[in-house]
Amino acid sequence: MAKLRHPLPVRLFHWLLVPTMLVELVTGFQLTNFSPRWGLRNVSSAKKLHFAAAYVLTALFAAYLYGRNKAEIVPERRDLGSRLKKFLAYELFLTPKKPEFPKYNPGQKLLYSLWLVLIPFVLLLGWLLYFPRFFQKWIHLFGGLSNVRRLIYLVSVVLTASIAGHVYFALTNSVAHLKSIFTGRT
Amino acid sequence: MTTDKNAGTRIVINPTTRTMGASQVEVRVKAGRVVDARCGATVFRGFELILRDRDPRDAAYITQRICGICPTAHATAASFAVEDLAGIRPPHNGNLLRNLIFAGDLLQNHIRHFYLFTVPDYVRVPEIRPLTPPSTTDCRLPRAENQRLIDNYFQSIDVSRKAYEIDALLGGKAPHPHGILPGGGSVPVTAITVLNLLSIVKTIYRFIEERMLPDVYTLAEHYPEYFEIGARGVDFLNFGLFPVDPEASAHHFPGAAMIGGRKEAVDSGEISEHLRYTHFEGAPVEHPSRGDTRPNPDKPGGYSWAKAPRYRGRALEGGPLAQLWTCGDYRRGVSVLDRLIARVLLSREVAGLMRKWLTALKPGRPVFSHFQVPKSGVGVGLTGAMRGPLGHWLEVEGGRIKHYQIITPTAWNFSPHDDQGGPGPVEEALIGTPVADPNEPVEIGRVLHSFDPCMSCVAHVIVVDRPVPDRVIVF
Amino acid sequence: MSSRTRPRRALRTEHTPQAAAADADRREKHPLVWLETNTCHGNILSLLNSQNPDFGVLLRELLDLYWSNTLMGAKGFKSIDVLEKVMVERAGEYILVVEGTVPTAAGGRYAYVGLRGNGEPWTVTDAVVELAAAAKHVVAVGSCAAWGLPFGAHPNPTGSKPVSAVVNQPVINVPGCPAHPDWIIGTLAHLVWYGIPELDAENRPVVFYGETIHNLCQRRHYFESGIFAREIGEPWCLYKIGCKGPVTYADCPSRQWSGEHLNWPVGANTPCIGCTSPEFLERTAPFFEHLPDVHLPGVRVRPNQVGLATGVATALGIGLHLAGSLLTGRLQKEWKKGLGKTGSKFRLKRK
Repeated sequence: MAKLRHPLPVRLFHWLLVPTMLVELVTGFQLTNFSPRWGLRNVSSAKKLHFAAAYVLTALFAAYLYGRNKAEIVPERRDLGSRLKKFLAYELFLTPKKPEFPKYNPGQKLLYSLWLVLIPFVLLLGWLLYFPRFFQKWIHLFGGLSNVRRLIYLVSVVLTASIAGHVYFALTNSVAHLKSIFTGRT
Repeated sequence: MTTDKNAGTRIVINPTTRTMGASQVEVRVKAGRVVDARCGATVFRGFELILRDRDPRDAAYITQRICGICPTAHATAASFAVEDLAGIRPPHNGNLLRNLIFAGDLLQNHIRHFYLFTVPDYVRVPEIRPLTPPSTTDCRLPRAENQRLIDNYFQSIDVSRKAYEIDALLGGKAPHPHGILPGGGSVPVTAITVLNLLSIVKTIYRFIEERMLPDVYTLAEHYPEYFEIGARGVDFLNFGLFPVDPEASAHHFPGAAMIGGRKEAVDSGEISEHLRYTHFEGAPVEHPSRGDTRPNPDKPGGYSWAKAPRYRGRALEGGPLAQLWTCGDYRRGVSVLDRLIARVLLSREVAGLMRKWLTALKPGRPVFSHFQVPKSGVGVGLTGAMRGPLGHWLEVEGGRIKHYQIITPTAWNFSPHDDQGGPGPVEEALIGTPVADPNEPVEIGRVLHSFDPCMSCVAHVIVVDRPVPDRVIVF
Repeated sequence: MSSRTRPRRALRTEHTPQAAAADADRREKHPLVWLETNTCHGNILSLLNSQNPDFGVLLRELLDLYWSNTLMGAKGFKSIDVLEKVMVERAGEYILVVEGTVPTAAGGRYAYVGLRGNGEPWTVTDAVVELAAAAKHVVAVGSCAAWGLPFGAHPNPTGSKPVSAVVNQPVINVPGCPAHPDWIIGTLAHLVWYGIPELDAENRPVVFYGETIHNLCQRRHYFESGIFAREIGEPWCLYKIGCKGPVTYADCPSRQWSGEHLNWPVGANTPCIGCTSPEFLERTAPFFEHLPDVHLPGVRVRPNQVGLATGVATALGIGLHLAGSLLTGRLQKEWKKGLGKTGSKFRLKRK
């Protein structure tokens, strides 16, 4: 029997997160620049989906923050030093030998930590826009409603790009591990 | 001027009040007459700096914020500049709508200027603040006529509001309406809009005809010496005001320079800004499209933050008198009263034109021309305005404003000395003005207000930094 | 500032609506100082657009306007004298309205009120502080006074600040560029009659700034239905050509401009530019774009340019890496390894 790589809660989280994030990003960009070509009939439905997904995402993240062992994904000092060097050397095709890392390589760790910061941040910003009167002081802190909108957009751009990178690497770089996100085991 | 500039009694009026924005006038009086005058605006905002790196389409809305009483003039000039840059023209309706909004603002401006800013210099005011304490004790109007002007003072507030309703209907709000844009206007032409506007224009026209015009003649009748005071030569500058068609093939008030009474076409290449007596750094004489605004409060020799624009080296005056003189509608003379009368006559003419434009509007036709802002290029927007010639010079690079330069009418009228030491138009008009009582130099206020200076528009400052004089009358 | 209204017992009898209705002429008017600092004067002109009551009635019945550079009869020393006296004689009574930003650069030399009685120039910065200290209420009318913008927009050549940043007491903000006449006289009348109105976290009267333009907009249903104007002049939702209604608090859609309540910018088929917003001009511009520019070192770019550049960079990165992986045979190896294992698992199961 192969080693258990992703326990059930982690897999469950991952596969709930996938559609939620997808809905958030697609409807989010729809709200910024609506076009009926994207399959939604109107802004109203885009908004409802966006808000519904935001509730789910918030719940998911609360569960994640409560349950997940963050030590696995937060980079150690080595991850930013020697390991990162080895990782980059391989990924930039400077060396043919694939380095060995513990569960996650430095690239994965950096990516997941980035999400650990950006997703709650963008959620917070979203909630500020959802209750603008209630959070007036907070909005002031973030520079105003317009600035909050701009921040959400920019964070979403980064999230979209990083998710694309994640999918690419998952499909090409550690195919051996790919199965584990479905079955839990490699 | 051969007179010793340091002789005589020095009078400083600061603030001048009833000018749009704070300003200072400093004159020297010798033997009861002004022998030297220096005028400065006391505000600086540096709009040209704020405009850098922004979207050229925003210029029409941003530059409006220069001036609350003539926002549409800036919006118009900025729109012309962007259209010049993009090489487009507004549709027929767009041109007329913009003319109407601009004209509504112009009428508001002239009505408010005449009653709220000028009349208190001549009449016995009622005991209502802020009209009291009064500006003067030299009130010559008979009781009944005085009362009529006071009544009209209050009625003018209602009528000028009506003038702004034109801007609200066609531009969304006023001041700072949204309806003047590069590309044209934004409100569709419908019968009800035209009908509403015709009715408003009619009310205003009647007020000008039945109240304002008799009132200005009443002033002329009782203050006849003001046909001599504030005089200067026939040196005018106009940029075309109200294009007759989208191509601006002609203007209802044509652009022309009058130098010593001789009329000639305006060549904007002849305009330069003199900096010697200002607190700006830069090459001493620059064409506005290249001029640079670098404030330096400590520049030696400077006494004003207003630049001194000159046309072919000459200080030219702008405003209703210049506009009417150029098209031949008024040629009596150049003085305080001539300026006031011309302002009223021009208002009446504009109100008449508005009726024509309203009836020339075509329902169902476009009001806005779509366009793309070019990545780079230059654009010039020149227009006549409430106070004279207004020019916006625009340079775009990478789709952003690289350079923006504005020369306002008040910069022409209220300009400081030029590099050769020649006075600006207000300064020149003040020289020779009799001052009966140095403690109450109401004459200076009257000359000044006849120009309707707008310090908000000058957008640059004076630093009060003078040697201790022998005798100061701070009035 | 407390958002609760001041208790009614603090009222002076002559300053109540009952008194206003009862005896219009002999009633004592409330002292007011309208100080114009670094401004375009659009707000005093907007005040003149008030219809019910009109400005003349306001002067005769409600407000004792001691000072207004734009309107007062006196000039020079006589006018400054009024200002210096009101500070002493009506101390603690008058309402100070400030219109315009407070320019703090160059020692405040970018705007003057005039020359004081002693002949010294009086900067507006000093005047605002001194006049506010003796005022009963301080009201910042217009976005300049309330937020220090738009004249304080990047690069802020005059060091402009809002009134609240230079005075030591609460300031009631009545923003707008310009403020609607009703917002101005409504706030002043509330102060005169009832005391401080209910304010939000930005010290704006809730009655006028309690809801976003977007939520009050007549064209909201077009937004919800996804019917958008593509260019200026079209009668639909202007969201996609830069309308700042969703991020702007004001009641323009229901109140309408000006004194006669006729129209408002969106009604004129042009986008709201967010002129009452604390971000006005700085982050509500570009006016015809949905989102404000992103300031990168030395250059401003549009957010969608950032989005596009990020997208292109990501695609390029993935593409290059994919090409590299294919050329070096890594991808084939990885897939073989991964699939091989899967295969072995299937074999395992069959056993």
